Amino acid sequence: MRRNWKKIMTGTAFALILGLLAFFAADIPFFTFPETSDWAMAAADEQLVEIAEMETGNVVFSAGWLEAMLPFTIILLISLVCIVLDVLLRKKLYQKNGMPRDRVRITHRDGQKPRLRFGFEMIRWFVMIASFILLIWGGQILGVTLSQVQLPVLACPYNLEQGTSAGCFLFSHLDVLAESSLDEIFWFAGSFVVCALLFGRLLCGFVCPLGFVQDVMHQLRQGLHIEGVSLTEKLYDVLRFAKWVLLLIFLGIGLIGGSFCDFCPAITLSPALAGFKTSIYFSGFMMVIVLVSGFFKRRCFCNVCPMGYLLGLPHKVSLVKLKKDAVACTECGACYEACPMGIKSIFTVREGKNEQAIDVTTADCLLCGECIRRCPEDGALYMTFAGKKFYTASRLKFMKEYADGKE
Amino acid sequence: MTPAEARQRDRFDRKSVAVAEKMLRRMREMTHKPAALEPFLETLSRIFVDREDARKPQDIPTVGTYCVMVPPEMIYAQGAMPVKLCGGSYTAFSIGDDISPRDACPLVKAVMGFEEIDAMPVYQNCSLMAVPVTCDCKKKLAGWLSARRSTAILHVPANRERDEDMERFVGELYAFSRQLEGITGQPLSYENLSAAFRLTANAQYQLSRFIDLRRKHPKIIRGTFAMAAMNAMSYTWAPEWTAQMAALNDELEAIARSGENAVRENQPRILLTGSPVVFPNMKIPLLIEEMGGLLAADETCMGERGLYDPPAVADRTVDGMLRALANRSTRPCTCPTFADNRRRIYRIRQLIKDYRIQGVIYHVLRGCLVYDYEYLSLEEEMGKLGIPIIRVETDYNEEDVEQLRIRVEAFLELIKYGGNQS
Ligand code: SF4
Ligand code: SF4
Ligand code: SF4
Ligand code: SF4
Ligand code: SF4
Repeated sequence: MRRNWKKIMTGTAFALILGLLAFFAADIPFFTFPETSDWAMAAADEQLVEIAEMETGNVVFSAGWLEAMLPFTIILLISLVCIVLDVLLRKKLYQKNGMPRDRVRITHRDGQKPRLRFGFEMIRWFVMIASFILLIWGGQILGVTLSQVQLPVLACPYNLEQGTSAGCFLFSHLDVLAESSLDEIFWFAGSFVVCALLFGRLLCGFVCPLGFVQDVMHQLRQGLHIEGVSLTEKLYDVLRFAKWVLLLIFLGIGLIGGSFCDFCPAITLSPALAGFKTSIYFSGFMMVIVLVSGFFKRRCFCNVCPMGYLLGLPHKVSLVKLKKDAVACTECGACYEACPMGIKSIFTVREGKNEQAIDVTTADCLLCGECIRRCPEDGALYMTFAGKKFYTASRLKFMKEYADGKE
Repeated sequence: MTPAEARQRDRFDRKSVAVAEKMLRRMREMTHKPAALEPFLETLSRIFVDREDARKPQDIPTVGTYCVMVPPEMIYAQGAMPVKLCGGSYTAFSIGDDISPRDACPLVKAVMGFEEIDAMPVYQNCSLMAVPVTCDCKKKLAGWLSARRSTAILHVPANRERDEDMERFVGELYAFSRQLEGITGQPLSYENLSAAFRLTANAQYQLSRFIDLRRKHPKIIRGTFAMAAMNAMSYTWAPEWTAQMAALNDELEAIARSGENAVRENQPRILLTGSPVVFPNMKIPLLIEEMGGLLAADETCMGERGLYDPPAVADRTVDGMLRALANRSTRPCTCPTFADNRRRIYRIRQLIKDYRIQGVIYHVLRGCLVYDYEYLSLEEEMGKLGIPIIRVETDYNEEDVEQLRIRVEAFLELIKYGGNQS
């Protein structure tokens, strides 16, 4: 009972702090551009499409672009400092506890050449890079933007020249939505429904630029072989709680007169890369958190991202599904260990209507396929699109990636 | 050495060699023996007949392990060679019998016997013994061994669902690594760990090929041979075993292409599961195949199980690799020493499907309670599937062979002529 009280108190305190931070985010500037300082606020009230005609981004590497990139560069530098500090601190700690020195040594090689193997993983990276480019510079490259399509991921539409618009803006500004034209509401709702039905969180795994950046951070750590932070159920519970708080903030803040965009980490990324000088408020600090946590824990922000979670909620009717053959599964836990979202049920679930095809998709699942990649049992995990298998776990595939790679 | 001890030693020398030789002869006399099997039998012969130590490329220490839950990768990484020391010798068993309670299991008695008689270089030369605390007998063995030698005792969680338990086992592995460092002077590092992973990965890749072949062609090789190859792995330097296995796979692939089968078409396909089957106690596999059955697969830990599960490295760091090892060693393990072990039933069901099994023989070593416990639930499950199953309780003694022969024969007849299964 006492424990529960403590939990409720800390939980409420945490939620309050987060809520206050989000509400007053606009008063905590990270970096502001004098000439456009109020631009973000203006955008919150106006319709983005109209502003598109007034603003254009700067060409990559032009002076204007470099200026626009200044805040993001600062964010990168701060993140780097945080990461280095963490590594140094850990070194001290491990030394004191007599742990193997190599837990934190950075310069080690494993004598293994990176092998590129065509498959789901490679396609995923390819699509991620392609959509990163298209979403950010799509308008500049192709000359058209599908600005009516509102992808439900954090591809920040403050970048007015990206390939499509993003649904997050209206989700977090329900007040704006209420005053929008029927046309716009139709496009907004339509984009969400179609995306959720056809892809679900496949968009998180394959398309979202913020997800991509986190995956890059993870890959960086893998390349340096720096120890990460492995979460347990308890810590995942904390993240889950944070996710609900953020979801509440995300949906509600517009209604009480705030703007999620001053809080959202994504605003620091895409507009800057496209050359839009965008003033950054609390978002800058958020992005540092995203990068640093994403470095040590794969896709950490995705664990709390309200947009992705909303997209995942209708997973029951979505066409893409993650399924499991409970008889083939040995409960080895590899999938759980690999899952960036810490979804334990994929490893523990055993009962279901059809033991050979249990639907293990959850609202948290990014459909990133990491679990299938690490599953060593033939056909134990697989992904289906409209009932058709398109990616299945295989032992020989696993072994080929793991062993010296003969054949 | 007192005269009595000398006599005991003398008897051990004669008898244990004779038993090992006899088992090897029986295996060599079986039909359809692939030529590439010979290196495995030679390894067994070197260890048990010639009494040599395990062959190593350099003069490095060996570490004796007493269960598949000790990750060989760590031992290779830190510059030692792992040997699996679970014992299957009746002669050693009789010596161990005098120094342990009557109801202790034969495997542990044999280990104690080997340790007591001090005549086997594989046992004698070990610089460290690694004993995970799994069943009661192993726990007492750990205590008994640590009084005489340097021993690492690994605490294995009793259940595997909670993450905290896994974290604790990762901690056990770090502690084990420090003990390894004590004997080899080599700390755990990312380089040596990933090199070691590659050694076992290649071995496991060959095993996967082997399994794949057996699944596609259940009659391609006798199960007794497969078990001998897996037993030989316990005493072989990993890359050497990998090469031997690759050769065997190549030969089997050629056989598969030419369409020859290892055995006659109508032999009942049997799955052997239960307590460990350790050389030279090859009594049951030999009986099954000599009586006209085909041992199509086994679910025992000196058999396929011993190398079956690969660690899945999701995080390429020292810690990530140790976590992968901790996971691999406990979570998929079908050892009944875990409190909840439903996965074993699923595993057996999958094996039945993969190898089109027609009957299950459940091996219980007298005194091995944990395996005996799980018989009933498996019997019930097999009842649902309509797969016949018998429980065979025995120890390392050869006296009950005739009785076993009759039972196994009747079981095989039942499958062959029972008619209700295909
Ligand atoms: S700042 Fe965030 S919530 Fe606002 S539009 Fe950009 S991505 Fe969407
Ligand atoms: S969950 Fe991750 S990938 Fe999905 S929208 Fe949010 S940030 Fe992007
Ligand atoms: S990785 Fe595959 S076999 Fe292992 S627990 Fe997950 S689904 Fe089961
Ligand atoms: S369950 Fe699998 S596909 Fe879903 S997030 Fe986890 S690893 Fe990715
Ligand atoms: S039966 Fe269990 S305790 Fe014994 S060696 Fe096998 S896995 Fe280990």
